[in-house]
Amino acid sequence: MQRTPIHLRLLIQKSEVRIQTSVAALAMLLIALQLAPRWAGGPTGAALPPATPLPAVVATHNPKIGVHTRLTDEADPAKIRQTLRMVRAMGAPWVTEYFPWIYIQPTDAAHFDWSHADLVVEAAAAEGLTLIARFDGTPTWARPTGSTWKYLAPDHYADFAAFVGAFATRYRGRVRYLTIWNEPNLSAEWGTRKPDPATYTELLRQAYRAAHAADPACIVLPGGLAPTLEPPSSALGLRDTDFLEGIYAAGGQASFDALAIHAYGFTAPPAAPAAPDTLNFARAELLHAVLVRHGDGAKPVLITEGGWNDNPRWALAVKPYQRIAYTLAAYDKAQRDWPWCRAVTFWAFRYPQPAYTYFDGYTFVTPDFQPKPIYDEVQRYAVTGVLP
Amino acid sequence: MRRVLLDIMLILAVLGLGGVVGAGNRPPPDAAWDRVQARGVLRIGTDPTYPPFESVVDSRYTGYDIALGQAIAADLGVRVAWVPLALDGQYDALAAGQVDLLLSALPFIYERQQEVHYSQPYFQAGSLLVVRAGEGRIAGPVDLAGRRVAVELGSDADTAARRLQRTIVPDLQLAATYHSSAEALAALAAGQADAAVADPLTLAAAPDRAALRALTPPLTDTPYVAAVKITSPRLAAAVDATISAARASGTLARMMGGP
Repeated sequence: MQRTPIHLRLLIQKSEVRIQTSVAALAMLLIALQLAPRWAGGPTGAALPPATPLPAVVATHNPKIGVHTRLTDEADPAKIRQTLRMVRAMGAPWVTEYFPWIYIQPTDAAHFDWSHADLVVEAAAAEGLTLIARFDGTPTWARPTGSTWKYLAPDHYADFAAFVGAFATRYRGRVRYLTIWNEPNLSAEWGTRKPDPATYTELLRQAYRAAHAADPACIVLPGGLAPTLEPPSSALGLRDTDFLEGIYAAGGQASFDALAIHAYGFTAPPAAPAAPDTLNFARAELLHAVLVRHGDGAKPVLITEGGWNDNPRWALAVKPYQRIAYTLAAYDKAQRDWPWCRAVTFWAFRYPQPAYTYFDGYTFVTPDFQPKPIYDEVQRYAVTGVLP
Repeated sequence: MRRVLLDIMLILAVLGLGGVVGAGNRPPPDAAWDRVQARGVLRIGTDPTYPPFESVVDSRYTGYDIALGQAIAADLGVRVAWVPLALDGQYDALAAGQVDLLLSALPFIYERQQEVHYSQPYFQAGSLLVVRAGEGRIAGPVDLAGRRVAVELGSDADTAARRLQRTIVPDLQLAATYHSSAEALAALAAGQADAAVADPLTLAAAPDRAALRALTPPLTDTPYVAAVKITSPRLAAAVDATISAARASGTLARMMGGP
């Protein structure tokens, strides 16, 4: 275990207020607050209901560190809690998680199954983590037979918006960040149709209205755009910067409060400069520049996917030591150089099962919860604030 | 433990197949087998981007799996048609009947057994605990207490060493400063570490190989296996027969890069 330095930057999830304080003093305060009900209950304490545990506190020097978890596929509540406990222990205050519409409204528009979402939201809150929710996944009742679950036609946009509104209502005060769809600039994520920013913007507009009607304090993000250079003629996808421009062209400026970015480094280090025809981590700067061009420079950016892969069987992977160095440097770059970037949640903390493909090279923890070396190194960086 | 279970399952499978074949002297139906025999071609799917197991050099498939595939085809009396497949599409291609056999440094996946017959393991890719040839103090992981262990930073070997440190050898002195397993092994050979954890391919290629010794069993269990459809029991048995014969004759070790 690392020794905790006396002064750490602590992030308290509920208020998202960063405070500089003494760990010892804060620990004493927490102990006092948690023990207070028992003291009040007298020697036995039996007459009192159990105390509600206070949210844990994420100790980190870099409050932008985050990961994308994969709890959608995790059914065991104990494993959900353990996953989020390990995220906190790594020093990451942020998590992005997927809440498929099809899982929450599987049968019709009138019924909701919040059981799994409740588990995730409550466990994240208990660990003091800030949750970024992302939504897509169309139920069968809301799409044509034979379409994929990433297909959503305009005649069901209102149903999706109502779902987002219901989510915002249920988790008001606990989940503020709501991401509308995922990578809508890819055909595969847009129901195997040609991506269309104008049509997507209408979906975003309806979801934004529903979310803000339910929770005026919520922060709506367009779906994180896939890093791609596909030209407008392509049926497979559309260049991320072009798609974002398309949202503005379709009048979507007032329909999002922050921008989600997918910032994969592939084989380049985070220090590699951004360029229009290059896919790398710094490409986030180009997307932020689009915001600035449209007068939206004050809107925060959240990296909701990204990172490096070290699987030896993938051409776009790096060596394991490079993955560690690049990941730490990227977190550090966001903290030092990108004041407009609020969080960096890298793909992916842990899979419930091995993928047995190169996807396994993205994880921080094995399916049986063994920390990979990258976990240890991020934790060391979070505790010390010093790059190796 | 998983390897023991795998071996038991494979033995039971072979015995079971033998029982089926012997029961009525009529082999079980196997469309893939029939197709291979009728066409005289065994279609083998592989991801030819993973040397030394499979790659394409001068337009020719080459590597450990390629040699094994040629041996299987030779035993069947047919020729091989290599089918290049991305790693994450291999099982779909097998299920769709695009290939008869997968040979692609595939790890054993327990859950896949509902849809495929796996061969017996033909290569063990798990991380090895390596010491100098004359090392007499270290016979296994528990002897690493207080010892300096070299690993490639961030690698599977590093993960395995840290697992030991977290569990049974808390005072293992981890030296995770190396950028490759080859560097870690070189440090061991040079006396800068007491042991190293590395993959078997890097160990086999180490310039100081003769001065190093791998302890058994491996620290992690990663057997490579071949796969055919679950509806191909005869082809599965034929693949196993070739591997068994090659293992017994010593040719399997040579196919897998051994001396």
